[in-house]
Amino acid sequence: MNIKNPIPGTVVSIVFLLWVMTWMIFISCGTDRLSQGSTYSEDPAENRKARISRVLLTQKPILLLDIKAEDQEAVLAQDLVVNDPRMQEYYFEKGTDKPMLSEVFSVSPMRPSDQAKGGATCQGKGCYRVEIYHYSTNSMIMALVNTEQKKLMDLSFYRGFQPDLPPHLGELAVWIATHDSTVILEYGGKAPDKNQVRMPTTKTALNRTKCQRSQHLCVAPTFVRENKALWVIVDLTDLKIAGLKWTEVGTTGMAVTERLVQNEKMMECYCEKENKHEQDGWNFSYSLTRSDGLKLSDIRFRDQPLFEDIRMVDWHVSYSTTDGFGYSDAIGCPEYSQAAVVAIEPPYFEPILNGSDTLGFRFVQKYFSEGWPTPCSYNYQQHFEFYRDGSFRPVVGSLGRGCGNDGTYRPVTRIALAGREHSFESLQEGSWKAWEREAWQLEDDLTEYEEGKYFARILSKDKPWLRIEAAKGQFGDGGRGDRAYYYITRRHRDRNEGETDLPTVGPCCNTDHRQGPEKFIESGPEPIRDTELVLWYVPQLKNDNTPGSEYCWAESVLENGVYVAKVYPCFSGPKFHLSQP
Amino acid sequence: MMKSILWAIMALFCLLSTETSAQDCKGQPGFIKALGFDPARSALSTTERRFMGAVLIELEDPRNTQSRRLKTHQDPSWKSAGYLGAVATDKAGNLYVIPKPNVNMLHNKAAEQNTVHRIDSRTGKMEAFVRLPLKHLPHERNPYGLIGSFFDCTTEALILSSLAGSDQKKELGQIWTLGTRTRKYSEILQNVDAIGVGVYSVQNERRLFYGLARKSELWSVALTADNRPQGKPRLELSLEGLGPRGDDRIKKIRFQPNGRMDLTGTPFYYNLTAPVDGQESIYSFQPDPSSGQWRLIGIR
Repeated sequence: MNIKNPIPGTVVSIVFLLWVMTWMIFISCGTDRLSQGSTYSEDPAENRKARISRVLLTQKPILLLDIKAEDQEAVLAQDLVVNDPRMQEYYFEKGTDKPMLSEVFSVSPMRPSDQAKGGATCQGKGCYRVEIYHYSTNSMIMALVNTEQKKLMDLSFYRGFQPDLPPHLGELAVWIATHDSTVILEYGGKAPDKNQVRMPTTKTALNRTKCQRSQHLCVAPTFVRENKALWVIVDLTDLKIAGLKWTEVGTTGMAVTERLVQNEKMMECYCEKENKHEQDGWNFSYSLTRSDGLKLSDIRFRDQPLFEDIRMVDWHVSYSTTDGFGYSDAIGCPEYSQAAVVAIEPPYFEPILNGSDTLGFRFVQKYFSEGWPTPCSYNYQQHFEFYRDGSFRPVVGSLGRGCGNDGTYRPVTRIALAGREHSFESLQEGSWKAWEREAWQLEDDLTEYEEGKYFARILSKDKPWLRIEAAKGQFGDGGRGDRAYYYITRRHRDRNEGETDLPTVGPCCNTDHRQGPEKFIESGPEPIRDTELVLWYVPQLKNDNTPGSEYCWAESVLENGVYVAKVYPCFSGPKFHLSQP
Repeated sequence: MMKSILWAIMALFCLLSTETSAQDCKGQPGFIKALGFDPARSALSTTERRFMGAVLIELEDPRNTQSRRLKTHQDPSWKSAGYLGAVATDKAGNLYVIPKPNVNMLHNKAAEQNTVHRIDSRTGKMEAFVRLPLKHLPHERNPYGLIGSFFDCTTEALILSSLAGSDQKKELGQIWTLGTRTRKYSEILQNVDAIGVGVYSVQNERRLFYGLARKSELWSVALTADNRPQGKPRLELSLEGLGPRGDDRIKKIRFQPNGRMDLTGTPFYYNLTAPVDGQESIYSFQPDPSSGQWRLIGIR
């Protein structure tokens, strides 16, 4: 909504309130992800999965259209196409020979417009057009067939295009939509009536939609209730719900697609709003920033404030074989932001388990770039581990894949400590020594650790001390050690040294301590004893694509006939432990 | 074979016209030949990986923009403004480039995002040409300033669109006309966020066409001889739901001599996500005399 003209303040307030209320109705915010299916006995989705599994074991991994036997010409047209040698390249992946899934969507008489595409020599009854959807590449194969000559006249491949759905897939989409627990919940606890799948304005049973990010086949059954319509985006590649959105019936607006639904939810529920969470003695606020990732604020354990806020400022990645080549990525909101890699799905909570014991909980936010995991695309993850004993670990990780196998990631995290009088100490020649002025230190072979793991401690006059356990590959998440840079700066609330969203703080490709935070130190290191402190943490994570030891890497692999991402994350981050003076 | 050659030609057209507007009056930049580059194979690119700013490239196969670069050249002045975006060429072969942040704002200062730069046809040197006023600086909710550019052969003016200062709730974009001979500028439209711009005569009426940044819509407004708007803007068409993505914004508008209108569409959400190969389509429309509407004739 744009308010361009001068309007009395009260009117603006009322309009704004109404606008807010509208969105409260239309978008349901929650950190639970969409359900992955449903629980019922007679399940056409399961039947379809079984059918796909069977066809993928054959020499022609293509689902055929169920054509009435009496329509022998159409049956023949379909046979001619699926058995033609030219289809082989669409059946199996080059190099691995893994099956790629296809499905015949329609067999119909050739259209006049098809003449220009190779059907010029085909006249009369035996001329057919066969449309095939290629699931693994999200593309359409269109074949023109002459059944009288028993000949495939033309075969064309249209990347990124999808043919019209056959009726049985439309019915399956409606079935999935009407049986999904999230949809039922959104519809008021009652399954929508499949006979309500209709848009009065369009008179169509199913609305076309796009799943731009997953590159899957999607369709949107739309259920009308009073003057509103619930659009349910069904992913027919994964057989699950990809998104929901209520609209006003009879109004035209933006096309309801996967991207629109995802972006709207993220913007309304996490970018424009601060949320709160309380669990296991912990409580904190969180929101998604425009360029500093998921920001956690006012983090307390048993009502004791520990951290004022934590944000992920930049991801620096540099490639060693080309000087100065790399990227400095910000992460954050999917729209109206400076993020290069964006959050598209809500953050979520999960338990931290050790066998059957629950040690605490983890709060996870992922970031996505289009095309991932193709080369030169990046996905990242940020998560926070809250333990019941009061320890805490802010974690960031790369999910690959980047532009080469010689990349080093140097993510910059800013941690503002709660409280006004801190001192920072590290071990020097076996004893704790306080840092007198702002400074940085790199973990290297000469670094001393208390008990072999604690790099530093933070002393406070009015709250528990914190000991910092360095990441040396011991946290059980596949991390191989951070060899991190630690920077300690004095906090100034009157200067923007990260108090608000920071634009890119440093360049991609410095291989030394010049990752950005040093600029707050080098102008003249300030005394830091008994002051407010900010800890900046920059690990160094070298990627690897060696088979068997991949790290900060991702590959596209064929599974069940479609490409999925296989991820080899590299997680980093120190762990803070409560300690008594 | 024929089909693949055709696609390659189309692809070349895309690159060259994306980065060096395909107006019919554009001149040949003199410095290309002077640097020993073959003008028939060369183009100024602002999207070369591993280069910031503009780069002169000579292609092995001019029909294939992905073909090997036989030569590249970058004058030091061409990277002085950070990362660059659209390129327009005037009748004398001078090139006008506008800034465009790439992945981050590190090399593109917010206050410089409404500056038009000119690469002199003769010397090949780039310098700031005109700094258009910035009512609002680009900020963390919208890093963009100038974004669309077009050289109008009739008035020898650049038509420029800027998104500076807009955010999710406020649409503050402007469309400017800037005389390349006079350096005088004026606002054509305000409070409109547009990306692609172009001026064409339709039924003997000069109209400014512009593709919105917030919607997949193409609008137009009639222009006077000195590029002032006259009458109300009108909606021409929408790309909503069309193409592989269904939510493309129009970043380039070109008319062909036969009246066909080609619109280049790509996703745009006011962020700094890197462009992805293949996330661009050309939507071709033909006027339908019976309905007075545009008729979609192809997507490639």
